[in-house]
Amino acid sequence: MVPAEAFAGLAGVALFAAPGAGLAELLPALRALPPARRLAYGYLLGVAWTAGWLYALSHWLAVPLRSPAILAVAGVPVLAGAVSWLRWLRRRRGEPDPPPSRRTGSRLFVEWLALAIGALVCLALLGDTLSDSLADWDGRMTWSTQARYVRSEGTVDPRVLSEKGWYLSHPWYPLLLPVAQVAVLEVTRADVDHHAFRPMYGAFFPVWLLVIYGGSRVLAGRAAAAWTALIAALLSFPAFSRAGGAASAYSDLPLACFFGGGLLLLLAARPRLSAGLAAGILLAAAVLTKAEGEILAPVALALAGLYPLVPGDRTRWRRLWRLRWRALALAALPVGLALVLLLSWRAGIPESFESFEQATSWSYLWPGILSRAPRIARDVRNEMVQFPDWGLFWSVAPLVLIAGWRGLRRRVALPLLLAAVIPLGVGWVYATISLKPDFMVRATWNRFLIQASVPLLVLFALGLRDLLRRAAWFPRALGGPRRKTRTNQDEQGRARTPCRVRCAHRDRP
Amino acid sequence: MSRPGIVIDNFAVLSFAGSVFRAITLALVAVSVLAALPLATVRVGRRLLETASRVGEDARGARQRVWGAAVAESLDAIRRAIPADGEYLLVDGGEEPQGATYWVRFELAPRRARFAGRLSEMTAPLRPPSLPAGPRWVVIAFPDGPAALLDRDDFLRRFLRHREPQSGPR
Repeated sequence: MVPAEAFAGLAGVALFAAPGAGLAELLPALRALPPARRLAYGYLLGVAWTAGWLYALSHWLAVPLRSPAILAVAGVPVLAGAVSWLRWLRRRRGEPDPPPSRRTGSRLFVEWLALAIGALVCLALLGDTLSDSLADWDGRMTWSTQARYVRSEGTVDPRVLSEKGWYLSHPWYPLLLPVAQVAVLEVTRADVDHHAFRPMYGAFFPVWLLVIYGGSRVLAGRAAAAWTALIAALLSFPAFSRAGGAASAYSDLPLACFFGGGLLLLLAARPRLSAGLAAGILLAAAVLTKAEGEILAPVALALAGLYPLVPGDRTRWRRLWRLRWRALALAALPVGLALVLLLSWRAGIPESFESFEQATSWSYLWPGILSRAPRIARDVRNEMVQFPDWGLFWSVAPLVLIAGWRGLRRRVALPLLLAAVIPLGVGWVYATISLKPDFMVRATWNRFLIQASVPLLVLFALGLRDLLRRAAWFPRALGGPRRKTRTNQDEQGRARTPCRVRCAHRDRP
Repeated sequence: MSRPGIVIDNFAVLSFAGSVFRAITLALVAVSVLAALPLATVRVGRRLLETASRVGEDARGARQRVWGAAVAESLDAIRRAIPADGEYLLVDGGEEPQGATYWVRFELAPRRARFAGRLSEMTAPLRPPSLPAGPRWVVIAFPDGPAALLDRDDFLRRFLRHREPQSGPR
């Protein structure tokens, strides 16, 4: 690692973080988030916006994927965000300072622990992505090879895709992440052998942690969120695996972030219009990131639409639906556009789905879904109990969900559960119809777990919250329940003050 | 059935069992964190040390470290021979699960590849040697050695003599 190359890698991350920060500034629902979570969502929006527009402009208008176009696309939200921020500063100058935010208590030890361990893992990952070249399987076989062809011809329709007979793995896979790679390499003028795009993938790990922490914090509280983030940070597979983690150039972790982040924004009790738009952009990116995204993004929209129908009286359904439908409609717009773009782009590929058809046969689905199930279940279990990849997590997580079942009685739990089950169901069906199911489980199951990870870990946090609340013996510093003292009762009273009153100063006009 | 005089409070028993189950689960969560810590420490520590040891090594050096000097040199030689917008026939010198053709194709991209087949199948005695029409160059990807570059006529001539080419740059 030499300074100039390290700088190029970091500039690659900034290429998406900056427009993302601009977009977050423009969208009130994201502007109201605490800085770290705003940055995380901003990064996702930045990748989605920049690579998504470049994908569309290159395919529909033949705009060359070179620095001027890349900087123009990334620059628009940066400028718009800066103007919005300056206007807000000017308006604020005449107003009295907002009251300082009052926390309901000091940070718990487990929060510090999660922060410290998460930061160390991210630092190690950053060092790895800055200093080592790409050495994973799918990254070299599929994603980065396609990025090299796209970069060379400056278009998302290079000859290897649009002509028949060239040797290319999975030509029908969507190209959002390869386009993001090209953007980094072009803007930093990186040599063909320089891995300047790897930190861009590595940055998805802290984003993933923050999305999980944010979702858990809102739904399950500080202690459960901190424990969940700590446990997620300690999982080796999402961070360091060369077969789907942030250290690789696989698209599964980005897909998990786009899908999970979009879903969590839509599952808010009263999603604002800006939250709907942000969720739509993230889910559109999910469509363009990986083939599974074509299923997961509409699923997220459907779950958010059906959310008001989760048990409750009819009047409540109507009220909830009235609060949500505009945000949902706004979210569906970018997803629809992304699907149209993907279909239009794929129409120009003569060997679409060939690799999928060679590896699978739908004739195995029945009765394979029953007859192959025991074998697949055994292989799946073997993957999930691999200590070097997952530690003891998958052995403990079901117990937490069972023991903390009261925490799952909330309205939001059912859509989260379905959102977690559907990617795993896709993986199961894929293994069932595969010609080599054992190989398919070995090669893909962990990645389906990653795709389902955000809703799964938020569900885990809900279960854990219930366990922590009921464990009077558990130390407070580790998230145990608060002892009832007079001062605490005062604090609890304050905490019960409606959020609208406490957080009014955070929502800037 | 309980005898008269002994009252079993089902609710209290279930509640106690639930508390024990929850306590055990929480303890297991703590154990899972403690069990993951040493492995995470080793992985984080190793990566930080590796990063420190690679200060001053450029991308080219990193590539040589990953591939080995001989393989990296053979790939560079092939890159010099085939122009960046050129094309070649790719032959697998190993078996599919070894992935040699994937790595060589990645290293040679954006040069376009046409897959010509597996060397072990091409050298079968009863099979006449043939190559798809098109590119002049043939690259053979070996899983455990440098890739070989041959002219298509040279490749066919060697096959006619039933001799597998030696791996190494040309």
